[in-house]
Amino acid sequence: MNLIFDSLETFVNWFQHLSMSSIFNTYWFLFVIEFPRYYLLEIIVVIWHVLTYRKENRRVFYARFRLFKENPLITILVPGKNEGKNIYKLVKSLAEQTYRNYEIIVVDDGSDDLTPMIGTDLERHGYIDRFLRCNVRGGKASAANYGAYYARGKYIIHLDADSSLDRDAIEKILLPFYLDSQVKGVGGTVKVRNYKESICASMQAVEYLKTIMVGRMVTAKLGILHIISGAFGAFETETLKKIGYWDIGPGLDGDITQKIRKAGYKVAFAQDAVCLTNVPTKWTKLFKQRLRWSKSLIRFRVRKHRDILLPQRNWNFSNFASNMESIIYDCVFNYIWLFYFINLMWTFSEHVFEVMLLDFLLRFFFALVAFAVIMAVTERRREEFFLIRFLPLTSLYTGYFMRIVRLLAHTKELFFFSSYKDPWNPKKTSRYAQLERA
Amino acid sequence: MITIQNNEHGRRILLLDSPFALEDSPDFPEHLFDAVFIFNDSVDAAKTILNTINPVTSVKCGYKPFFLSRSLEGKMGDYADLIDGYYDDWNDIHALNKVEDIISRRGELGLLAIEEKIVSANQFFVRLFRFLIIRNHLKLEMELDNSSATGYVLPIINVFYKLGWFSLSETFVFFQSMTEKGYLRPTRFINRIYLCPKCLHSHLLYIESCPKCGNSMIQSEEVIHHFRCANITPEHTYNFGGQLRCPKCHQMLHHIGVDYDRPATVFTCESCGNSFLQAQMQAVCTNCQTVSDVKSLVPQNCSVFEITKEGVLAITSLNIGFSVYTEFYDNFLEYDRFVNRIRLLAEQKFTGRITGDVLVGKIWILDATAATVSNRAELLAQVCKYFPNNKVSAANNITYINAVVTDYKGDQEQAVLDFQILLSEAIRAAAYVLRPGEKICYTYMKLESNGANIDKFLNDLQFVTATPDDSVEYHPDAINPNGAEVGVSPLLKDDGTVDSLYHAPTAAELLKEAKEELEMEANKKKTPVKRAISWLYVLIAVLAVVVLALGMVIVKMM
Repeated sequence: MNLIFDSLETFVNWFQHLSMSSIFNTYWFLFVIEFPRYYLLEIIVVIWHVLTYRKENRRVFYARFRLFKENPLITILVPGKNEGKNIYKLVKSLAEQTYRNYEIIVVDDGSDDLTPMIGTDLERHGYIDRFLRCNVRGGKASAANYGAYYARGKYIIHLDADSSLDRDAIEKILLPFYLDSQVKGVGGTVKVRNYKESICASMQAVEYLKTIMVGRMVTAKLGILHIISGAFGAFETETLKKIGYWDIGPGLDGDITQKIRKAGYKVAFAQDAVCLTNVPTKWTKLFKQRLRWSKSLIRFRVRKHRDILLPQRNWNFSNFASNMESIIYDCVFNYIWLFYFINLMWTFSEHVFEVMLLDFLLRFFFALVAFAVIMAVTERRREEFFLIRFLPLTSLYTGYFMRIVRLLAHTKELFFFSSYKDPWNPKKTSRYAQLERA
Repeated sequence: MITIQNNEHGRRILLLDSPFALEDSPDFPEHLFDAVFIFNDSVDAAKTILNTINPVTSVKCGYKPFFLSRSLEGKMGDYADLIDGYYDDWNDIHALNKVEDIISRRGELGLLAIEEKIVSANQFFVRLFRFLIIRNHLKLEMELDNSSATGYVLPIINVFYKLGWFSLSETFVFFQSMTEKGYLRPTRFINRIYLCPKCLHSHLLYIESCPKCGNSMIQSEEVIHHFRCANITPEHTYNFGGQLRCPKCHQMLHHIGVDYDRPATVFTCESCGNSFLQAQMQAVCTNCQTVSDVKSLVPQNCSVFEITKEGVLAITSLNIGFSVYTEFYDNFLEYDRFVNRIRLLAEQKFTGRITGDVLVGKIWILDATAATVSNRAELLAQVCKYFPNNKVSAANNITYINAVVTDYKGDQEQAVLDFQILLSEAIRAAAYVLRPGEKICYTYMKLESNGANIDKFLNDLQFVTATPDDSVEYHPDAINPNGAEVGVSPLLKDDGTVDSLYHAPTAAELLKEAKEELEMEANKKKTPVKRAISWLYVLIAVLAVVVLALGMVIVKMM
């Protein structure tokens, strides 16, 4: 016991000797780079959101009126492989929707289990409107394109088979189309359904709330939203057709968002259209998933859509800002962080424990602020308040785990083009994609 | 012209050359002639005469030898089996011998007496089988016949089917019950055919149709997947002046498997524009015009049959009875009709037209060696009485009860339990049929709603289980409750328990016990031990963190 108090005492002593400026100098990365973007900006935007809430609400009311007056047919597109067992649950959750005029198209991408039988049965009994199947796997993009070709609806809602929607999610995700006619793609909020299953899942639940619900709300307000989740996104069918539907992934959701932006349209975010999805509960699985996701930044933003960054005829500031923001914050600053961290360890090799502890405490404090912002925005406070007990871990999770994953992924993709070897896509298509673009 | 002539052996031959209402004519009573000679060269005229005057359905000519003119030999088609010979002279030596043979065989079999007029299908079949036995025609060769309703048919049966003596289902039921009793034996399996579920005709047209609108004007087309841009659309969108060019990225397609492939085929309905992967197979009955899904067609095994020795004895005995139960109990169904009913219920359950559970209760008796004993009439009668609102059948040494149970209060499990209780009470009420050392058992089967395993279900119907849901042993004091009010056993007390005269526990008690056991199981799960263990884990985790921190501090201090 004495030892703990002694070490705490040394920490307090060390802390007392520090001046504000030396703290700032030590943790400049946190204060200069992370704080303005991830905390200050969010607080400002949320305050703005709260202040304009009443006015916005009136506009939403009229948009809702126009939506239900037009009552357009919506196509719900569910591509997937070996998802047969999830489809019935999904269909049941769709049957609860407040918006009723929809058709469901399920595309089976070369499943090798009972999915074809389940699909044809559901189709025969009228639970789904169309069941399409490729006998050989062609990748998620091809499955989505196959279904989109047969879509009859005015809007296409792209869903993952293992997700389920809130009762009013479809209605809410359609509203931005009626708020602004230039909006051709809307992303929905994705939350974690199995957040109680393991610490790993709970951490992701916190992360999803922070980066998807609040983060995308902020970027959307600023007009630099750069991704519409593959798990829950709505698109106008006509526009999708113009931009040629989905291109080959991984990361096809970010790719299609950029294609819409490049075509001169806006994308929006509906933070109250909630979709629940299952996340990996094991750290190894999460690690692999994030490697795949992070690689798409280099593959699409830096390579495929580099024209957005270059001054040319189609150049547009918000597109440039959107891409630059994600490249700088997710990639460049990561490398800088690595050098910063090594440098920090080097200079404070005497006081590593104290430095880390203070860093931890500062981040914990910021995490509390961020959590307060989340609680201000979310519509299910009671359930999500549960996650507050995991806040101490967020500094480790986002501060170290996520950074290392991203560093690894970006390095691998930058130098080795490893996303083209990802088994997420069938080999035949990956090879062709690499031949064409690399 | 119609006359009676004596032949050389003194037998009287009825000669006729044109249709004649012999049955109604008082001038020609049965005992005035021993054989019939139809003296006409026209096939049609001969067939017309045979339709009314034949050795099977005619009362006056029953089983008597029939002859035709020699010129008709080989031209009579299905009618050939009714004819004993083709001669120009009734004094032909073969004709004389044939008449004697048949009369003597009738004598041997004891079938000389005059038969009554046919009033039921079963009666007709008995008459037909007696005719076949007299002619020593014991092997029943089914033949493919485009004019028959079932495709494979016994020619002689086809003649009378066209004349309307019986319905198709009556044929199946008769053959089924004869086979079950061992009077007929299938000697060679021919084919399994599928029949219209409504009229049992086999003349079906199979059509591929759109699952949405049922129209059969559909076209199939392949889908092309272009790897480069992940475009995947039907082939016609790629067609560019005879070449394949991607509609999305405008690249030419060169080599299948390298830059594109064809992962699927889709059908497109030209009527409603629907596109689908699997066309729906439908069967249109050419007889009753019913359009049915191929899954609901009734399967039927076609075999070559042989009349066994027991069959000959039973059919020729004068007191043969058939299907007493159908005549006494309205709710009795022959086994194959019972199976068809289950099949129909399965289809209805599958398509959601009925919501209740389809149950089949099985009751059987085991002897001292734990082998099933053959069905007893008393047991069947008792079950028929006990379940007046359910269909009852018996075969394979098992008595079956079919029920569709729905609980309108929404407690489906309770409805199934009620049926179990009823079965449990039924075997107690029927316990009097047991003989020493025997026991009566029941179990029930529930049809799963997905309908996929209907064939397995029907197959399982034929077998008893080693673990019945309930059983009652032989007891010398068991009383025949017959005569009491139908459906209620006098052994049942008012409170639903059975008189203590049976040592077996009552159904209500068994249920109560089962419920208690379940509750105990449930209680076990909530033991505080588990909770303590989980708290222990938390404690260990906290301790570990503390120790780690301490360790770091110690390292620092040093």
